[in-house]
Amino acid sequence: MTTKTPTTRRHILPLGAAAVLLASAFALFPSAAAATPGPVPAPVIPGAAPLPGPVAPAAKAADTMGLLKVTPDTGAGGTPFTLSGKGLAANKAVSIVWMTSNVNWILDARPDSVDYIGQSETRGLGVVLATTKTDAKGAFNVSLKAPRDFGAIHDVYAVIDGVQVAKGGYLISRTLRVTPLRGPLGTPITIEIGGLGSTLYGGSASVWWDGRYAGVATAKWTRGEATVRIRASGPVGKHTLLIGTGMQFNYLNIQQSPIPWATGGIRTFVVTKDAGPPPVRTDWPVSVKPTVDTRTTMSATGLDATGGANVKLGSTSGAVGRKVAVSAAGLAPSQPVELALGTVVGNRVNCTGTCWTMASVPLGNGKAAADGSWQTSFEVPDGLGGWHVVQVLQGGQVKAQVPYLVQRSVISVPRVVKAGHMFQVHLKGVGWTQLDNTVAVTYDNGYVGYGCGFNSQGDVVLNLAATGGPGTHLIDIYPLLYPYQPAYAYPPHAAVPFLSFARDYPGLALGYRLPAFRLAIKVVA
Amino acid sequence: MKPFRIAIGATVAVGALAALAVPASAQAPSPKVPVPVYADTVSSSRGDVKLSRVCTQTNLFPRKARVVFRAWAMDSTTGKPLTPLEIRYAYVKIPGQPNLALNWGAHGTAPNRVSFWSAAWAIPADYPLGVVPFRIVFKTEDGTFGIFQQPVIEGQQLTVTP
Repeated sequence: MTTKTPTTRRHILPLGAAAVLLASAFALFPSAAAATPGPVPAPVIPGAAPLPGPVAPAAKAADTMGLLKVTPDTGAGGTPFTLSGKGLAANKAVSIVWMTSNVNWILDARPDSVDYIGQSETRGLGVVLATTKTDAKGAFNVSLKAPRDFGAIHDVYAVIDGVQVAKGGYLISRTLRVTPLRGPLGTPITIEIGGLGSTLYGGSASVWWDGRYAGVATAKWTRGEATVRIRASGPVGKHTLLIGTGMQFNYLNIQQSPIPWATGGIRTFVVTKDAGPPPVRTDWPVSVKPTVDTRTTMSATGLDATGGANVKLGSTSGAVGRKVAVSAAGLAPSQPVELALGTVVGNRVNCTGTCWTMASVPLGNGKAAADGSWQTSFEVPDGLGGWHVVQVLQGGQVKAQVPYLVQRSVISVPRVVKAGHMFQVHLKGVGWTQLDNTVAVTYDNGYVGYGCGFNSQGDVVLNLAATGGPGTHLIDIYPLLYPYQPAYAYPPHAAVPFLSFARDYPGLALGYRLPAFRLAIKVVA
Repeated sequence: MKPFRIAIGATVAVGALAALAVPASAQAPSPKVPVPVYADTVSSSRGDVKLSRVCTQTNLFPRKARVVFRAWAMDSTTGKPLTPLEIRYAYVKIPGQPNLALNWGAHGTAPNRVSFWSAAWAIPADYPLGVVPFRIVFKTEDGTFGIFQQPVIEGQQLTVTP
């Protein structure tokens, strides 16, 4: 094994877990050198606003710059406004250039893991919102709609012949829409927040239910528009939903900050009845085309790329226990074949040396047909979730390989629990990267803790207390961005329930599809 | 709130380079070099909208508040601030506004009394939101110019807010 360990990463191999897995492993996967961490390209998120216009050519500021009149100059995306200028050169083509940003998540995607590092903002990006022409007196007037864009003040320039000759500004303000505002306990509530910013402090909102912290919402890949869902919890009656401001929790005096427009909002929800625990539900993220090719455990090392073999799976993802058909071709005819799954063993807890290493789990074996084909199937092993390579080997050499995404799943949750007693929720298929090694748990929309699946090979048994008195109580399990081991400087929005996982989660770029599980219990006296 | 730290650094650097380029012991006539200028903006005690703290460095001003521009133009040879004895004119150039004359005067009370160039600008109620790309211009009696222009750093420039 030739494992290269980046100096910033520490790998520990817990002897117990490693012994079990390595005893059955017949190959070890060397990890590749760390890729260069950087912003990952944004996938196309369905319904998300695009850049508001084509990128404008570079322009220089005029020595004497005029002013543009913008009426109104504050509003949400889609608000009509007029833009006018005067005192400019006559009969000239004018580009209306709107200044904005692009925001991306920063990741370090490698074969042995994915690290979450933060966000990257490309500022000072000018886009052409419209074009017009000055009249014989050097004036113009255009009617526009505020673009669906990040919240904050956007400078707007009139550009003539590559020179910014006049400027105005428009404030994309925050908006909040909550639907519905009444319903039985467990009612899904959709919270749409508009005008989140591109900056670190202006770019997120926090969600609070009856004063309890439910989690964070971001909109980096959705140009300031976040959509999150929680469920109505608590006894029959009025409940307070607060959308807080700031980076992660609630910036209580945001009006005194440099971004006073980054406001929140408050709504009242009426729980009309408690009809018992609603059915278990899984909310999946949107389907997008990944933009990054790197998959954990996938490496070209040891791959016979010249043999022309290939392998196809009956599905590209599935939970532990799912049966997956395998069809290989181009193998050495009539020769033994082995099927294996690449994974890792280790953990991130208190690590001071080597924390994990790659390993291989045998999935089956057989013999290639006379035409070099081989058909078989396997059950997704009870192990770590996330991306794993499935390999077809002959003579100890990897002939073909393909990635497979092991999804997390709920194994069990009790229906009835006595008040004040502990109970357990059992999950499988939790992963090991900083995108998927941990789940965040809320109880009646209050963040109560997290569970990690790395050391226990994807198996997570959450220990929870039945609180809040007799009645129905909700448990929601969300994705979480893990910021430790290794820890980077100031990774935002980490270690808390990530409520906007469905449309703005960095793992989407790598093909991860991390859901929220909606569970419930009935607490009895 | 972010004061113009970068601007301070930039102007100091210009001054230092100028001093290196023109050693004080040089016998030949010194070439004309730009006059280094330091500038910042502070809150005012006056205005229809007052900030919570006065005479405090900030780059964020709501409409109808007063921006106080402060500036020092330096003699790049001696490092001393230029006064009306050496300056022919000094003004702030703000988009869409008449040039704003800078005046030399002493501010504060002893022992913290200090002299500098300043001018106050009451932001009109309908002035556009966003960055104000202002410029400060000094011209010395011997015809040398010193010009301060904000570095284009997002979030660090003079900005009009609602």
